[in-house]
Amino acid sequence: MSILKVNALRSTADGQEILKGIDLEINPGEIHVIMGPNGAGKSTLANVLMGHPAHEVVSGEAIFGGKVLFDMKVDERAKAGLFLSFQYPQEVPGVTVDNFLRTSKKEISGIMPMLGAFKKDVKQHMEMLDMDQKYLERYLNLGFSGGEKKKNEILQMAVLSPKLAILDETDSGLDVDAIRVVYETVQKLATKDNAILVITHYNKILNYIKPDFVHILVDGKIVKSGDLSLATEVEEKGYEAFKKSTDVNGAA
Amino acid sequence: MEKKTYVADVDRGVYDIINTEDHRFVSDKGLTEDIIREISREKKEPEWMMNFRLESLEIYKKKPLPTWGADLSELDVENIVHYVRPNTDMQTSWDDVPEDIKNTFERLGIPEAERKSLAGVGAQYDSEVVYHSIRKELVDLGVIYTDMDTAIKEYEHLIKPYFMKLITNRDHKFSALHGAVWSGGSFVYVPEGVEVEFPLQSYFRLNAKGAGQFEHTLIIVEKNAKLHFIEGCSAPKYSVQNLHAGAVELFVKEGATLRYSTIENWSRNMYNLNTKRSVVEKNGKIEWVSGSFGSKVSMLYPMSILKGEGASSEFTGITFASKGQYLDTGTKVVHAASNTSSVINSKSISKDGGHAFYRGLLKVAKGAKNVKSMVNCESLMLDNRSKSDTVPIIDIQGDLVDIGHEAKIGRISDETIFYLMSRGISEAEAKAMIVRGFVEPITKELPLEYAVELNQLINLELEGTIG
Amino acid sequence: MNIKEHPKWKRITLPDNLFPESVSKGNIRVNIKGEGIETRPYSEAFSEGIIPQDFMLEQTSVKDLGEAFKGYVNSNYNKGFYVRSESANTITSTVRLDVPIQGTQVENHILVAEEGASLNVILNYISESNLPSMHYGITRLIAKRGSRIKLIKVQQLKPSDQFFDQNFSIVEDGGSVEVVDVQLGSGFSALSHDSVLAGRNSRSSIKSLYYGDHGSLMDLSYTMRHRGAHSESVILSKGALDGDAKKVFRGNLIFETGSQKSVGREKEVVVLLSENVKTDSIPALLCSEDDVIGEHAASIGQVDQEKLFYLMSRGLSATEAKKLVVKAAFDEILLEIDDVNLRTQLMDALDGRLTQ
Repeated sequence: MSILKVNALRSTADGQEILKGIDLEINPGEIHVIMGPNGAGKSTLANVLMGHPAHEVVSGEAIFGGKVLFDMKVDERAKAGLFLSFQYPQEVPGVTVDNFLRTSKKEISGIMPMLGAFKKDVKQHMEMLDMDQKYLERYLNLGFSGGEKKKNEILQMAVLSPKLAILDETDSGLDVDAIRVVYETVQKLATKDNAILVITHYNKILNYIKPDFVHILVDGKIVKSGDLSLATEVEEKGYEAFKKSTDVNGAA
Repeated sequence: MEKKTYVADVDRGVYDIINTEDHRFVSDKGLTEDIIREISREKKEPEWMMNFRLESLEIYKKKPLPTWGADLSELDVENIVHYVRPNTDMQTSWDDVPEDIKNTFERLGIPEAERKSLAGVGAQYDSEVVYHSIRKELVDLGVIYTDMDTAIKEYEHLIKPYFMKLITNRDHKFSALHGAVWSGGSFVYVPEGVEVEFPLQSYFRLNAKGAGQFEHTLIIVEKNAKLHFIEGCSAPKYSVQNLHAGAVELFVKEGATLRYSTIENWSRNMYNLNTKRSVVEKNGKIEWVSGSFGSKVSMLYPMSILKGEGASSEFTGITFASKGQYLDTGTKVVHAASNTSSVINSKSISKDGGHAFYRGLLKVAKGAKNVKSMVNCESLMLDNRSKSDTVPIIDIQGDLVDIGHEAKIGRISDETIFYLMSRGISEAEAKAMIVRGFVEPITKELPLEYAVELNQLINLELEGTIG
Repeated sequence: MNIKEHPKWKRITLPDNLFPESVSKGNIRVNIKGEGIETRPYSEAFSEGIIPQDFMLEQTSVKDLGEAFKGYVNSNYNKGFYVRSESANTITSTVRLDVPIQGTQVENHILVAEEGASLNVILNYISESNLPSMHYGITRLIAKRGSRIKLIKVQQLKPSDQFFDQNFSIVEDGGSVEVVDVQLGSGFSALSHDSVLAGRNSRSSIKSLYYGDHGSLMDLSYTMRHRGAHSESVILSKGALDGDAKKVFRGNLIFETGSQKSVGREKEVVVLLSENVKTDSIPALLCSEDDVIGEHAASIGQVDQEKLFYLMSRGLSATEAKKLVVKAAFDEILLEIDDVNLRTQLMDALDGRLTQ
């Protein structure tokens, strides 16, 4: 059974139609990459799936782990195993990373994590991400650099072990070393039971992560799906070529 | 519109437990010369004090009510009982304190805190202090910590040059009232060079219905000495008005440091019209930590007068105004000497129709050079039936100053809630987390038991407001 | 003339000789560029009944110069214009009024931008007489749906002059009012700008620049009242004080219930150039709506020492360096003045003042 199945999804924000019919199926053990130009609706897709209040689902459906995704509140989606690594993670003054991780873990797993084991687990992941332990005592994302914020997102992913992790432009704002550390961690977190959906607008990260599927999203629609070779095609031709293909589709 | 459910009033638990009234002496309601004389006689005071009271009464009668800030038109001072002496003398052992009074303080956690983390405790019940004690090693160092009545008699020479010199009975109507009917409070004297390691704490409990509490706190921290003083206040809720018009006078001498922490959780029938002032000598430091949660109406602006060169002040305050509350709070700093510095951090939360008003004054007097000050005010509104106002007045003479001020008003951002919810945290818990985070810079300055209490209070207040 | 009660202000003492008989000799010079603009004397427009009578602003203003001023101006005005724009052209529709102040000049102005129209107005106050003179004025701005008014007020009177000026504006749905207020002269100036952001998506901004020296007294009051949803306001004030100048700044950001998703930002920068100056700031954020962003920031102090050091390390004298830093701080406001001649003239005037 698939982890996520999206069917003819259309959405609006501020009265503007953004997603114009998305179909997507993600199965356990798969890594998907969605690529597309700026403004194509990539981040919107991530936000709609997570349940961002500014986006409205107009039609279509999504089944996540056998449940109707759009019937669930944001926290229920998280508890069901959906995770979003934010493009711009919020700063929350006064709430420490440690406190936040523990609270989330408790909510998602349903039990208070064992202190010793939890600490060890967090420490291990932080080492893997090349993060200083002192971040645990800092306020959530407050004063973090772009790279630190992204690492903190992946740390949360590692601690919460979701069924499906959506990484929304996690590569943006990272230097080369950080990209490597982050995506090697992501690759390590991939198992045969979970799945990862990577959203990016360029294919630099494909040096570090090996997707099973690549989708091209242009103007609110997935215009082409394929394997890794599709990414190469983008690199050679740019998105312009795919934009034309939507026009053709539109005319047909 | 978002549907919200509101709780009628917060169950404040232990704070609202009312004891049966058992008094040795209760003054008549209202204010007359006879009542003042009677209070003074009852207290067996020196004559100068009685004369001071009578003079204050005259001033009180002439002074108008303040025309700004809170609406005090409903306050009926004539109907307040100004003096209620509980049926006990001051004790130095909890075992000697009458059972019901002792239980009250037990519930508030005072004796336990005393055993754990305090160097001394004073407990006032209605108009008089019922318990006072201080660790022996401090006594040996010459530290005095006692109730004001005792102090007036035993340390008259120490008290007289300071008593109501910083806050005079001519300052405003309620300082005059205080001068006339003051009773109870604590006196602390820390001799030169003595650093008191653990805090002293005075707790003020007003149990009597329709009464006023007018305690006077006087603290002198001598040269290079150090003290942390904690003041706690609470009262059970009645349907009639109670009035609190205390006065706090703090004298911080050269090189001395005083931290004065207050957690005020009066019941919501209380008019809290308190006056607090400190004067800081050369290189001395005053630190105010102030939490205002209770009362129906508050007007409270602790003032720091930086009189000596190099003196400094820090104010950290949180005000939480909920249903039926108008909390007008802030701080005043006067830079009267060169090389003085001040930091003001104020936060407020208003919800459920509450009105939080930050009112501040930052003044740099002529001739004060190299003055630095940073003022930061943040207000959080939890709904649009509440109000939040910020008026920080900045008044500067001279040019060798460096003043920065920032103020922000807003609500919890939807994006932040979304972010926390995306990690499995419910909407209610996400909001509570953000509010707790908002006040965190204040809570971390509070003594632990108060920090815990503040977080519980926030949980209580937020419960049922999110639907 | 009515005997008015002498208003009392707490922070700045008003002159004694308030409300004299109005006698004015100077004539306002009018220069109109562009089409779609109607101008006529205020008195004429008033007697023809085309001045909007339901002018609510004057009732709702928070902190103006007081009832006495308003009454005095309304019953004694001897100058003023009614300016109305139907022009949709943002660049050319400009009315420049050069106002020489001689004697006691009392002015009533009203500026109206019709739906979708655009209007630029410059009011430039100058002295053309050696005798002490006074200006009392009210300017009303009405920006209708989707319209835009930009008002530039420049005051360059001589030190013996006094300047009293009130401004009320109302901004309807999608409209915008931008005010640039430049106070460089007069020994006494008291002014208020009070803007009601009445409509949804309305915008209003006030950018203020002032320079005070030699005992000049200033009381500047700016108010933004958010009433409509999604409205946006800015108050930006930059000033420098020298000699024994004294100034009071009052900035009010008010969010009324119903002004959700509105944003108001207020910023004040004061540069202090002498130890004898006095500066008071009373910024107020008054909020009855939770879904808004209200911010205020103030910075008061001397010229940034690091900047001075840097400039002096490049060979500038301390005075020159100071001048440069102060002028740079003012640049942001001066660049708002589209009239190049006026802008250049102001920059030169400022230069001269800073050199003294």
